Parts: sequence; structure tokens; C-alpha cells
Amino acid sequence: MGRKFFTKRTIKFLAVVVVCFGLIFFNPGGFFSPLRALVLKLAYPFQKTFYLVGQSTERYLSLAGSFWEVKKENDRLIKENYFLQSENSNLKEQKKENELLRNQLKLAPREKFNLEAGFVIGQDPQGLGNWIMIDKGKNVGIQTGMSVIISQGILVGRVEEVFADSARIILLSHAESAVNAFDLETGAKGVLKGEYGLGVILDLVSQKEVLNVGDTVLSSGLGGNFPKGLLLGKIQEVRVSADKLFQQAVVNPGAKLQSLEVVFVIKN
Amino acid sequence: MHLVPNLILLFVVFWTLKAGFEKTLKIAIFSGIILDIFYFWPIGINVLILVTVSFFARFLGRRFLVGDFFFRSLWLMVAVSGAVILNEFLTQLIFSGLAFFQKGIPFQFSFGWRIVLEIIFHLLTFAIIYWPLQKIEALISLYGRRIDPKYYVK
Repeated sequence: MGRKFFTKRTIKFLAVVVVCFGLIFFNPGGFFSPLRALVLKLAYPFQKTFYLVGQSTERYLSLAGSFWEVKKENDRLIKENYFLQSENSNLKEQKKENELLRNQLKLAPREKFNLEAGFVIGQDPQGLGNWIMIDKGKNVGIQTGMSVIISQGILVGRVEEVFADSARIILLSHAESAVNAFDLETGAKGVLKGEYGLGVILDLVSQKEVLNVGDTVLSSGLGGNFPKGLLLGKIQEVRVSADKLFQQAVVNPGAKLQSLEVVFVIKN
Repeated sequence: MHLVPNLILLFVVFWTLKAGFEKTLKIAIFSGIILDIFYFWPIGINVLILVTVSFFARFLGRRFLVGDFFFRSLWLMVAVSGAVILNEFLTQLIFSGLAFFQKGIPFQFSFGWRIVLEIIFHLLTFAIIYWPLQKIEALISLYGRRIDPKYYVK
């Protein structure tokens, strides 16, 4: 006599699978949000501590692992220092020119942003760099949709969810991230999109526009979701979209999205 | 490359091999919900993955329990490797499914060298945590025997 396929165990397994599929695909938005908020509130002090300890350990281990590379790195830095000294003198001249150009382009005056600094206390455990958690939330006036930058006015993402003392920020590499952008050198306009944590691309650029490798990409401010003139990154590769209607460019983000420590939320 | 050990996955594999699917089911569901909360994923993804891993790992359970040291190690390695592959496969399947149903983006799967590194990394991690897990399991089973009234029925 053959073995019974639908054993009690198999039925339990199938029941869990069906319920899970139902929850994943038909879950009404925000149904579990109160539970998530409660757990995060309870875990907040531990999360912050564990994350900081984890980061320190990782830094220590990577330092220990790369000790033999330090001398090589030192030689490289000495050379780079000579180069930077000469470049610095050139940049002083360019500073004036830059101020003039910024006025002409009507870029956002970075110094006038009302910034709220936040320490990163958590990140996407899958290591894809999709989102980060910061230690500031509703209590200091952070709201959903606010732009998040790092010190030099480099856009890293936007606030997706806000809790009492923390907020979740989806980064530029997140699949749901979309920023209206333009090429500073050529003026080509497009939309900077995340590619499921794998990187960012400048998409929907008309075939008539020009994109060059090495060009700087800035936020255009269209749509009003992000301020104009925030640095997004540099073009790494130019290609044609699958439907051949648009141009695409792989963009190297201006910030290392996987190793952020302090970010600034633009509150105004 | 950023590799993070999925300790809960390893714990579920270990527990299934030791105690079977039925006893691991509740742990897998609870752990899955907690993971989904902290991953900010729709609730159910990690539950589904952990329960599925447990369901399939149980097939190796009997072999694991009666085997000698060599075979026990072999079945452990097979179970951990299988769990990592299943985890990766189901994660990609579910997210591709969500992208397809919500945005019409075609299904995408990418199994590169990363999965091999993930397996090696998880095997090494499992080797480190195996002894502490055994101690914990022994402690819990001892505690379970002490409080289980059936244990005292003559």
C-alpha cells in the first residue's frame, strides 16, 4: 500500500504556505504597521547598541584583514596628496566660477536647508543597500517624503516610514526610488531609478539628448519631491533601453550607500 | 561583497534535524514574523521561507540522527547548503512575483558566484555555532522533560 501523500504534516505545511501567500500578495497596506511600530519601539535601544557594536566589529575586522595593504595605501595617498595640493590651487579659481554657475542654474542653496542630523542605526540585512534606519523620527519633526542627504549635499534617499524615535529611509538604489534628474554638462533630463539594490540608472532620457561617461547627474527638482541641484552621482556607462526608445545611463552614486554613518534630513 | 549570516535559518535547520518539522513549525512561524518586521518585508515572506526549509530539511532528519560522525557532518552540510539555496530561490521568486503582479516587471533570477560564497559562509558560520546550539538544545530538551507530566507517568 502506497504512502499517504496528504499527511497531517503536509496539510499543516500547505496551510502555512497558503496563508503566507495570501498575506504577501493580498495584504492590505499597513495592516501590520501597528505591530511593526510596537516591536521597533521595544527593540529601539537594543537595535542602536547592537548596530553600533556590529559596525565597530566589522571595521576592526576589515582593518585587521587589510593590514598588509596599509603600506601600499600610504604610498598611494602620498602621491594623491601631491596631486590634491596642485588641484586645490586650481579649485580656488574655479570656486568663483562655480558660484556664478550655481546662480545661473538656480540650484538649491544648500546652506539654507533646515537639516536634522541622524545616526544610522540599522540597514537592510540582505546587504543590498536598499534602506537604512536613523535614530530620529516624528519627535523631531521628520515626516514621510523628506529628502535625505549627506554632508556635501549628496542626495542618498527619502524618508519612507516614520516612527516616534526612528525613521526608515529608502535609498537611491531601492526599486521604488525615482528622482527627476539632469546631466549637468549636457542638460539631458531623465529619471534616476533604483535597480533592486543593484545600483542606480538614469532612465527615460530621450534619444535626442546627449549623455557622456563621467558627466555629473543632479536632481532637477521637477515634481517637487526633491530640491533642485543635489548631487546624485556620475555617469559610468551609457546604453540604450530594452525597447530602444530611450537612453539609459548607469550612474555611480555620489555616496557609498552601503556604508553611511550620519545623514541629514531636509526638513523644509 | 556584503555577506550576512542568516542565523535564524541555520537555527531552523538545526532544530528540524534534531526535533523534526512539527516541533520546529511554531518556532519557524514566530521567527519568520520577527524577521519580516525587522527586514521591512511584507509579513509572510520569511515565514514561508523558514517553514519550507524546515519541511524539506526534515527528510534528512532521520539520516542525521542515526548516522556516524562522517554522515552526520555530510547531512548537515547538505541541509545547510540546501537551505541557503532554497532561501535565495524563494526570496527571488517572491520578490519577482511581487514586482510582476504590482508593476508588470518580468520575472528575473540571478544566481551568480554570490550563492556559492553564501553557502561557504553559512557552512563556516554553522560550524562555529553548532556546539553552542547543541548545548542550548540539550538544555531545552532537559527542561522540557522536567516539566512534561507525561515524563513521570509510569
